[in-house]
Amino acid sequence: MKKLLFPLGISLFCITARSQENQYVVYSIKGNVNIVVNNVESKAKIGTVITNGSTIKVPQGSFATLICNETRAFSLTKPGNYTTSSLKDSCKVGSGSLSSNYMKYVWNEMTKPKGSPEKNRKNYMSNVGAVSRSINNVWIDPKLDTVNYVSGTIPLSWKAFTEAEEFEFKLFDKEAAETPVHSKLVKKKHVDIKDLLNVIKPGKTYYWSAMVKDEDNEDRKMLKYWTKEDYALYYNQLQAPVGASETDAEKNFRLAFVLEEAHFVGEALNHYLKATQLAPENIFYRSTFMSFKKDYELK
Amino acid sequence: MKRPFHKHIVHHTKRYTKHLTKYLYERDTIFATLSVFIFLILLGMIPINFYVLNPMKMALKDFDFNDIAYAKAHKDDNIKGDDRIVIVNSGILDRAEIGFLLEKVNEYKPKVIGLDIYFEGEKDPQKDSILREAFRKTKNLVAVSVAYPTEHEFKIKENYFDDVLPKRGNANLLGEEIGTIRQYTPFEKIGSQRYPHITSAIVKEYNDTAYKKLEKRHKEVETINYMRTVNNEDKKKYQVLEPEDLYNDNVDSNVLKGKIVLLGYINLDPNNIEDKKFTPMNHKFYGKQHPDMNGIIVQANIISMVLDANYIKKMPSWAAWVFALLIGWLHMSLYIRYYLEDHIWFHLVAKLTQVFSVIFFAYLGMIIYDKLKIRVDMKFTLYVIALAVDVIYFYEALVSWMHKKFGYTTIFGHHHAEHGHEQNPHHETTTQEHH
Repeated sequence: MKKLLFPLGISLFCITARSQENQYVVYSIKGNVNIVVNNVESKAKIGTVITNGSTIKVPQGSFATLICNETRAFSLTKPGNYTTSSLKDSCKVGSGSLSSNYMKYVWNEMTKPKGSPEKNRKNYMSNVGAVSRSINNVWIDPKLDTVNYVSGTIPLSWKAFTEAEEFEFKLFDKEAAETPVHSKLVKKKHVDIKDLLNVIKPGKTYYWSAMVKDEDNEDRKMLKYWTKEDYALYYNQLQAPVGASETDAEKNFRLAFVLEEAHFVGEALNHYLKATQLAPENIFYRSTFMSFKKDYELK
Repeated sequence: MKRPFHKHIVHHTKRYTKHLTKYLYERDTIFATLSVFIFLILLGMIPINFYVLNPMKMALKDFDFNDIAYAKAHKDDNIKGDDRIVIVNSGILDRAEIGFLLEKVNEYKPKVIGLDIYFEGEKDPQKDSILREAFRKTKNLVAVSVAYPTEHEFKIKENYFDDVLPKRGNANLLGEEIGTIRQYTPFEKIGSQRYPHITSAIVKEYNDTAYKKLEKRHKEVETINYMRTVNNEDKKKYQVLEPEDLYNDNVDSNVLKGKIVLLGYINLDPNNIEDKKFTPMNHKFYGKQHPDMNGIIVQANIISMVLDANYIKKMPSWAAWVFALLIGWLHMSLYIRYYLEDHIWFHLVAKLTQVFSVIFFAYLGMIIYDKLKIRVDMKFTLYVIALAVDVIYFYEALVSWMHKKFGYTTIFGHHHAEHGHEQNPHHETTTQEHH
């Protein structure tokens, strides 16, 4: 019996040690990170203790840094739902003791190959005596610097200088904001403003950018979502008769031109279309309409 | 008949121990060891820094073997964060914004707020008055001051808001201008009064028992026991909050309640060196490097140390010298054995011993520092080991001259007569004769 007690004790100790629960505390958050405990979802705050069995929800564009067992910090940067059990590996701290780490260091230093720039060029060529000004792999037409949106389907488009399969579209509420209010991965090189209507609110200004997935692009373009009322006030001013008499086609063409200049892309499109329909024989109206559609990639 | 393995080990251990101790009690070994110390003392008495153009010496001037423990042996990996202290980053806020931030922090009911920002002179009257009002309202605030030396004593620089900041402490840290910060003074004599360090003033408000312990130590200078840092990677040993975290209600109320809040500048970008200090936790522990730790984290480390009474004891100088003497003596005995008996191997053995002794004694010092919190100065020991080889030649020449002149008996006498031969076939006889 006594013989059995010892291995039994050891096994129990091992099981207890293995089943010891990790404790997580939220260290920092960006965006809207939520924690689900017993099917109740609440906003994560700095200092929130995450108990075992909880789920951490990290949406696109957000991230959270957690501390495990008051020792190890790690970040959840990719969107997704993380259960505490899936985070176990992040709690592992350096396994080596002070002595073994010291011995490893001594050994590595003693066995580090010696060399000179003449004999081993590769080891000495990592210093670059110049600043880096990399190009963006994504280019957004300056025409889209400002887009005033009221209604319609207007694509926010870009061009890519690389054969990327996926692009990231980010929408910010401030020009210098670090965290986007909305971001999505797309395979096409445009995002329709119509698809953002559940995110953007009338009367507010937003900034958007597009980048190759996992790259950065600091170039931000403005998107202003006008309220119908504000636009009506502006539009009525344009309606005022001009000195010379004009036909309906001419009036529509004039309004389209002014609206294009004022970056009301959707509204300009409507008026160019009307002008073309009212004067189908006018080649200038037609070519302008076609160019406009091509420039803004409108359908 | 083949010898059993364990006897084989015992036999060789005895053989090598004999190498080490054969000449241990010889008069010449003791005198040669003492010569090393005399040489060291004489070197130390020279009032000129000969290393002025020695890049090696200059690079190692600020070097401490214990720094390897943090830099390369990951001593701090398993140390838990200190949740008694929270750092709020003031960033580059103006005076009015700092005033608002102070009020916001105080809403979370911390026990003490340590303000690690010094305000020199008057600026915008409107913004100044907002800050002044915030100071007036924050009763649990400990503010910072700066001590500066005059010809005879230290003085405190005037802070523009002194009249509304009754609790203050100086934030000075001991170290050369671009040197590693290893020490601080818990209390400094300013004029006729004992002026506290800001960390001492904060601890006084937070934990009177810990403060009294600090006072009772009566230490003019304390060595900082660095244990925690915050970086951009995996080290987040103190909670750092940004102002927007507080304003956007992203912080759990328990994070600051009843805690020490340090309000000051922190920037984790390694290329931003504003208010950054060199510390023993720097990844690069010698040569050219970047400062690694914001002043506010240094102060946090001091507070943690005082709260836990986790002080560093320093080995007294006499103990360091005695230790160096004993180790130097053993080395000298070994060197003399090879010098006299296997001269062909002498230099090889001496160099190998020096390398392994440096590795071993640096390790020993590090382990004692880590486990017993005693900072052992191994510098003298390593100097003695390094100098012993050269001193043997000098000593041999001296005693040979004394032998000729005064008939001084020495184990080197015979060796010197035979000099020119790499090996002395009569070495045993010489020793025997001497014995």
